Amino acid sequence: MRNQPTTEPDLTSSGPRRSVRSAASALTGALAYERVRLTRSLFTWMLLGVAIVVSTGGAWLSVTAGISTKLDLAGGKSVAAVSTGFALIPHLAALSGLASISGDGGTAVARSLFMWVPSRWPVLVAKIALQVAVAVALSAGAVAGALTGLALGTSAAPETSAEALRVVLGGVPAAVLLALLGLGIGAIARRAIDGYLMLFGLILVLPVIAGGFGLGSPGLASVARLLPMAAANAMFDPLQNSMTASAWSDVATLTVWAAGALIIGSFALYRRDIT
Amino acid sequence: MIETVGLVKVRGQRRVVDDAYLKVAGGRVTAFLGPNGAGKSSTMRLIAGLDRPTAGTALVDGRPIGSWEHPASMLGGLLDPPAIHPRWRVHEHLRYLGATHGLSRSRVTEVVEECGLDGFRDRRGRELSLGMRQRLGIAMAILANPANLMLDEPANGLDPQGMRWLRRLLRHYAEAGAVVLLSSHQMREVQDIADDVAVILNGRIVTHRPIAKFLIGTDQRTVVRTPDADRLGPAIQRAGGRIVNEPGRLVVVGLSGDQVGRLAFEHQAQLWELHTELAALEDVYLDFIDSELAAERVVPSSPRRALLDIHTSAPGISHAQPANN
Repeated sequence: MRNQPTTEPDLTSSGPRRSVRSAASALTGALAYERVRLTRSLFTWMLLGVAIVVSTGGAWLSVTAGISTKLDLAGGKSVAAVSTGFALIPHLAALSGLASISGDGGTAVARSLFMWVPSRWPVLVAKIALQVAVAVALSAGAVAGALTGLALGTSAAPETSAEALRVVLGGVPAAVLLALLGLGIGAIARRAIDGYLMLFGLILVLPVIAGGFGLGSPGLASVARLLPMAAANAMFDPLQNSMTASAWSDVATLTVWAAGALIIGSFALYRRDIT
Repeated sequence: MIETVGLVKVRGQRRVVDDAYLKVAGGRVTAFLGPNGAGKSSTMRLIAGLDRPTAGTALVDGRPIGSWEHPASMLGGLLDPPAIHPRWRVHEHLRYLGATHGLSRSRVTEVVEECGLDGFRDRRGRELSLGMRQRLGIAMAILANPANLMLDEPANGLDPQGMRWLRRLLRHYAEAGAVVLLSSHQMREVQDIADDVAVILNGRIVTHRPIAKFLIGTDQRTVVRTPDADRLGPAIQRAGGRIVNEPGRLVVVGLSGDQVGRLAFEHQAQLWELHTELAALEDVYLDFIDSELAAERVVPSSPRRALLDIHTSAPGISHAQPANN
């Protein structure tokens, strides 16, 4: 420790530090924080690792053990591999979105962050931007894993198919929207544990309940169609029954969930005292 | 300058900050005192922009903290307890925050060394002792070379070496012209380092004056060591002084050092030691709080009273004219 302090307070009356905040500068600062934090976060890399490993294993199993029902489609093995590989990605993306904000609040780090970036909305926008990037990265990891599993499981070159491409084109926005849903829930919940309970309840527990525990109740089935995971699965599962009028309505359903969570979450974040 | 103008914060049914008026100028260390639950931390959180005020404003150099381009360059804040992530390493705390203001890694390294954390830079938050966590919190507060410092209980957990370092740091900032506002329950440290005292009670600033003025009017103590206490003691009491017996010495209240010295000369009492000392800040502060609480029950104080205190007490402080009470 130095005997004499060397940090000199900057008391100059002019200069960029004393200029009034611009929206761009606050957002730039928040983006830099999120970028540096996420790229150094072990949790982020673990999620990516899980995505790759699970998609590789799932794809390999789907083509070697013949457990996937997608094998009968044109380009069946490709479709089976990619769709199986994507199965867990929406869940991981939702978890990433939630953790990006509950991690700050649950550890009181939000206090120091909001002292350095007092304006709430740039922080939320930065988290949204970075979580979109994480969801895309997870999706890319899933595709890479699926192709790897497919290559490991087949001796011949896999067929390309429009269905396989549809899985990817549907899976990426599904992951993105679920990441934003997780982020919105994290902003709504005061405590990290509440956020996790809300998210898992919504994406894991409610679908089971709404599915009527397999009892086939029509009333519950109509509710199940409107849940976010059902919409997400319909977006990238080529064999999912078309439970809505068109593929775009699945996107709309999931978008409404994500947007609603973000709107409510941003309002809660704006109004809330940061503890 | 750090300023609060009619600041109010209501939580539930309680006004935790009740029409607080405070104006803290640069170049001085101001101790922000008050009992537990008085509103110190709430006031600091409002100044830092973490809480939204119910009414009134909190200003740093004339603007709300959130309106500055680089808020951490205008106000370096440490709130109790420090915001430490259990899994982040020491340097990561500084690096992530520094990224918001475009601060370089060399600046992070510089602050790590300055705060005595260079042997701990790779330790995770959960591995840090209380003192190290406090040093990290202070490091985060000074990372951006702030023009104003606001520290809530900065001395918690610091060892004597850390306390000395903290004193030097705060004086360094104050002598450079920065505002230094700190809250602490460690009265001895406050008495050693603070220039001014601001007291908050039931959410309202009840006084803000130089510490010397805060202690004036209390009974000055004259400490005497003499082998002739049997002769000098009665003489002191006849002269109107009150003696507080302490082991090995006489503590005289009500007579100045000159008066006691003259009595010793007149009664041919040897003196081994004679000096005067102000009452301990802790005693004065506690008496002040008791009297304020008693007075509040009769007549609630004006919210602007503290502004009047500081303007009439310290000619050297430059302030705007106080509002009328």
